[in-house]
Amino acid sequence: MNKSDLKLIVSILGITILFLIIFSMIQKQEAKTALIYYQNEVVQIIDLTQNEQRDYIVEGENGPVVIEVNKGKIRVKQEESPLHICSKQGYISKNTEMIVCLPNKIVIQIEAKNIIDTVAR
Amino acid sequence: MEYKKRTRLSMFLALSILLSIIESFFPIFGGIIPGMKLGIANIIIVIVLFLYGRKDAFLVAILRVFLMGMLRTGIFSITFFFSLTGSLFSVGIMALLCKTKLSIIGISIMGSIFHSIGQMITAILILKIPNLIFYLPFMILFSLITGMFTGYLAKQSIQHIQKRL
Repeated sequence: MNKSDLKLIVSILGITILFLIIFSMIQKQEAKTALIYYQNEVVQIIDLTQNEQRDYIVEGENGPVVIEVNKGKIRVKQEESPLHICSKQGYISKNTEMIVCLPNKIVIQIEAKNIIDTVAR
Repeated sequence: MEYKKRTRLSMFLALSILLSIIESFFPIFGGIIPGMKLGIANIIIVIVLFLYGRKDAFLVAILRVFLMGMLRTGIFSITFFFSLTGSLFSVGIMALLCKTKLSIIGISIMGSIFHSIGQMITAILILKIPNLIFYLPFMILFSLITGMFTGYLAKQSIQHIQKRL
């Protein structure tokens, strides 16, 4: 490690922290809608501000994918895939957070939009 | 001497494939952010870059991706394109920087970061999920740590190998 390495590390840290601050400001917005995509098509729209608790079942590439909504948080409860990466990821609740289940071609994404805007679109 | 170099390069290639396979058995960090790994195969690319130069580093990196595709992920699958762009970005930036003042560790860090950036761009283009960009800062921070780790290992290895070459 020499001086220019240290400069590099410090500048990388600075840039990433700047980006993290900007991104966290975007995430703070209140309205939250979860969009569930299957093969890039929206198959389910869930309003996360409702504080409801229920399971949604979406058909994935390897069979049904059970998605649990619990007080503004959403997670993949059960799914058929080799590594179970998306069900191990657990709950997401903030804007722009997402769960990607590649084997099932399912993507869950939280957007800072009202459910009405989303449906209208 | 040509055949000696060729044999050594193919041994480095075999070693990088071995490391990739070993690494794929331990998805240690997959739980935190999907797709994260140490990138220990990059050690070999860094070693080749410093011992033999840019051309051979590109060669080993690209052959590694194709052979890994044939052996494990399936050639021309989504995972294959992820590793192809990741590797090309990573070797590209390392080849650009290898004549600067940065040490092996700094170059390895940049390689690791650009590997993440390359994969992120492919992911956004293939999967059409622009929101993935929000993971980039976390990926970069993680790459910083893994890049330092692999860079340190590469530096140590180069010192040992140079004594015996």
